[in-house]
Amino acid sequence: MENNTFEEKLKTLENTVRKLEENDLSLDQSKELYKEGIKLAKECKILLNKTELEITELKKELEDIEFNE
Amino acid sequence: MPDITFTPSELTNYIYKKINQDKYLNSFQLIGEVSNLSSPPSGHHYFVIKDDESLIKCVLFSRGSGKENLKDGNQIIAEGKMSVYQPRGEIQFIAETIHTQGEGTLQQKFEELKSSLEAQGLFDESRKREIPKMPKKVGIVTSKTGSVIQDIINVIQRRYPNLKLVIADTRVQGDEAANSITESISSLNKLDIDVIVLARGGGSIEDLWPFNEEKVAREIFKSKIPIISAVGHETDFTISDLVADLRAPTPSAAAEIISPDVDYLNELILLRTRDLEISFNTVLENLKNRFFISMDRIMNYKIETSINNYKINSLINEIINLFDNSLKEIKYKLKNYEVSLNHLDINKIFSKGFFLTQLKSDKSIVKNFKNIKKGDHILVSNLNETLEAETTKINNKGRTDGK
Repeated sequence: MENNTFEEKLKTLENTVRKLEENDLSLDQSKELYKEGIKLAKECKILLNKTELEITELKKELEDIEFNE
Repeated sequence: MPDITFTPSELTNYIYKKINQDKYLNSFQLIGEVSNLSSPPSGHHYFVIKDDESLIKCVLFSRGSGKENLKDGNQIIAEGKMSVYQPRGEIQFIAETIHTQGEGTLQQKFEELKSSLEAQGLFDESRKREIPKMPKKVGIVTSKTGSVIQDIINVIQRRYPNLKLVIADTRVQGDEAANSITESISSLNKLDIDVIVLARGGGSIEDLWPFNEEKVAREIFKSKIPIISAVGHETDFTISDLVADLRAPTPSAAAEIISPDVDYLNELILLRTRDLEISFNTVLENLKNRFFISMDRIMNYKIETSINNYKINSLINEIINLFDNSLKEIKYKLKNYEVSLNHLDINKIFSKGFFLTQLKSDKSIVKNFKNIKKGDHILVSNLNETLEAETTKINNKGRTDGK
């Protein structure tokens, strides 16, 4: 699964938190998860606050489909 | 003589107030036949509504709707309220909307279709799909022009701009509307879309009628993509609302449903970041604690008198077994236990028959019999008593005889 939309990043962040909450982790594993989590949280914030609403029309979307087929 | 006296204007005022305060007279339908219609250039329409026994004077002001239904002899339903025309002291009905009685059949049609589709399972709750909480791409079935789409865009722009809208420009009123809505839903189903919103502003039952057509209901039912129906005002119910996976009271409400609040999401990210910190700190704390516990044990490692609580029973058994052996051997065995000073209990050791042995000369604790020579005086103690003894013989195995 691609991992570049806000929703996917947020999901990955939540999974990272869950993994970090498990007990049997080495210091290195924990550190990696923590770093990854913080990175994801930052990316989520950027995505959430910088995106513009994208509006298209059905007609155009359908034309694009035909074009690609 | 009665207590109260009115002038005509006082009386009309009083009647006017009474009518205004009435529970029913401020909004109701008046059914009957139109008569004496007069439409002066002012744009207002004056007429009466009558039945076999009575008639009521009525006015439809120019801003009212349904004037095309006014014609002498027509059976109509007029929505409006009662009032008093004070200059003449006449009560009159102020109509706001005029429907022809034929429209009664629209309501009838609605009820018929509703029960038919209901029987066929089109409204089943079990069929309703969940609306994704954070959709990526949303199809909007509505007119490209008009305030509805603008309202939706405004709400989403404010709450959750991280969204793609595909607007299916659709006729939502008139004869072509049902086909147009059906086509839009079917075309949106060809795209990779998470949820579809059917949106239309408020209006009369005729205005909203396309959303009560069977064709539209069937298309909603067929859609693979979940559909939110947001047709009319909060009080308007359409067949579309009933078939759709979710009914939103208004188009703006639908926009809110598909757009999680950006403030809430920011808060969520903050919370998750804090969870990360807490979890990571917990891992660190645990490691640190384990380290310190081991450090403590190493620092406090003293075999002579210390016994770890949870090992005490096995240790005591061990001690009983070893009772006949030399102290040297016992001490050697004890060395093999990891013990801590924390739960030291001298009483238990003494109570098992062990004694503390010291050289009388310097009070040093006897840890090794090699340090005792024949003739040395020793002190043998438990917790409360001390016995003094003299070494009389040290045999080959290092065993000491005393007297």
